[in-house]
Amino acid sequence: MTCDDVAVRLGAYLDGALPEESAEEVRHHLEGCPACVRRQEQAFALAAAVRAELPYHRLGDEARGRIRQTLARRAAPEAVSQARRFPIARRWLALAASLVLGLAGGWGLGVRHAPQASAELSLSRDVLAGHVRSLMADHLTDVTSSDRHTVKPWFDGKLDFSPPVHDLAAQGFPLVGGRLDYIAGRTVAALAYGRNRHVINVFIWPSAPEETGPDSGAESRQGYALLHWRHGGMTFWVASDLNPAELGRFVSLLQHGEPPGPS
Amino acid sequence: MTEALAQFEDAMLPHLDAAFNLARHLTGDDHEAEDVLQDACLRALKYFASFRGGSGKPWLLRIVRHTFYTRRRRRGMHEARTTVFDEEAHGMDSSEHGGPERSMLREDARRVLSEAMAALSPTAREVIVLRELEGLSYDEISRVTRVPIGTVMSRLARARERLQAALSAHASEWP
Repeated sequence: MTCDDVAVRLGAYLDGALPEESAEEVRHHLEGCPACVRRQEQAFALAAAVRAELPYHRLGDEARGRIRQTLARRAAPEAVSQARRFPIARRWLALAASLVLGLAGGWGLGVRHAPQASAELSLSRDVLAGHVRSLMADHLTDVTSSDRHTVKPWFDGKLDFSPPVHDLAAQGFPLVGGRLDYIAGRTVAALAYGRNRHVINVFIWPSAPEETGPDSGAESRQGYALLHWRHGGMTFWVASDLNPAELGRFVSLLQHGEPPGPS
Repeated sequence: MTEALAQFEDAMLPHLDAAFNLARHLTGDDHEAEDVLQDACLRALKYFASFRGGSGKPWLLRIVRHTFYTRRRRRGMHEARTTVFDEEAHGMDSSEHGGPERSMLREDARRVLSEAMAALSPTAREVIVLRELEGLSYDEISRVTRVPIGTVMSRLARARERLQAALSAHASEWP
């Protein structure tokens, strides 16, 4: 497959819409072609920019009420019901919570409704800023490779710890690469994974003894989901705009190394 | 509330934002988008019996899209679409991501992308909305837009090329 062939198919490849045979050829080409890898990064960055910057127009409460009244009048002219309110964000959070809880059962991930401790709040702000920065500044990775045997050693000498790096390509979450980031006043490992055209950032650092607060949690911030947990002396934060079901599966893979069985 | 309406609302109200977002991107105008959505919802209610279950989103979006193109044909509007830069829709919290420079960069990227989107044809714009903002699969997009998957693929590739070109041209203007 030539670079031109790959260029035509790259979008569909990243969207997971290519037939397996064709996807395999693209994958094979990418392994030996830095120019096309660069093109792939550009495509990731474009998708991230489009999703982050294009307005998502939500229906206002008043317009929603008008539409429901029109429907009610049409369905039963005598029964005009009072418009109910649908707080979308809360519903989404509840969905995220149920899915994450369901998929990552046993890990006690839960949505926080109570006001957060200010330390955790500023931490989640840092993580979100790190995620957005990686998408906006076209600086997703310092080491771009889908091979964990390339990414993991890259961190040697740059960090005082060795972050666990998993290759989840077979499960549909290809490793894109790694970079250093700065969270909560320290240098941390950041791993980027792809899922179709969505980017998932995983931030990892050794848990500090003074780190308090819950062992795990999930929240939604500006349309991004943020999940975190501690395991094996490390603190993990995941940020993405991926839908809750797939993100839940990804987190479960990171934690258990294999897809959850059918429940 | 009647049983039929209750069933309709259960299946379709969760997708009202998606339906409005598509209508708003197609029309470029809040009021027209609400009109399209209003018509589409009535049409959806009327034909709800033909809804076979499963995800209601592609089904509703297909009706929104159909309503939009039908209205446009009736009015004889051809691609005439004026875009007003909407401060509110593009409103942003500059305090969140640090520094005036970054927010200016962001605002710029936002403006460039919005303008590039507005310059696309409705068929190109809708595949971007359906894929990037709604996360529909190629198969679902093919059902919503009633074209083969191969056509979805090529439309999407062309639309992305245009957006990428607009962003790159913009980036090269920076010192």
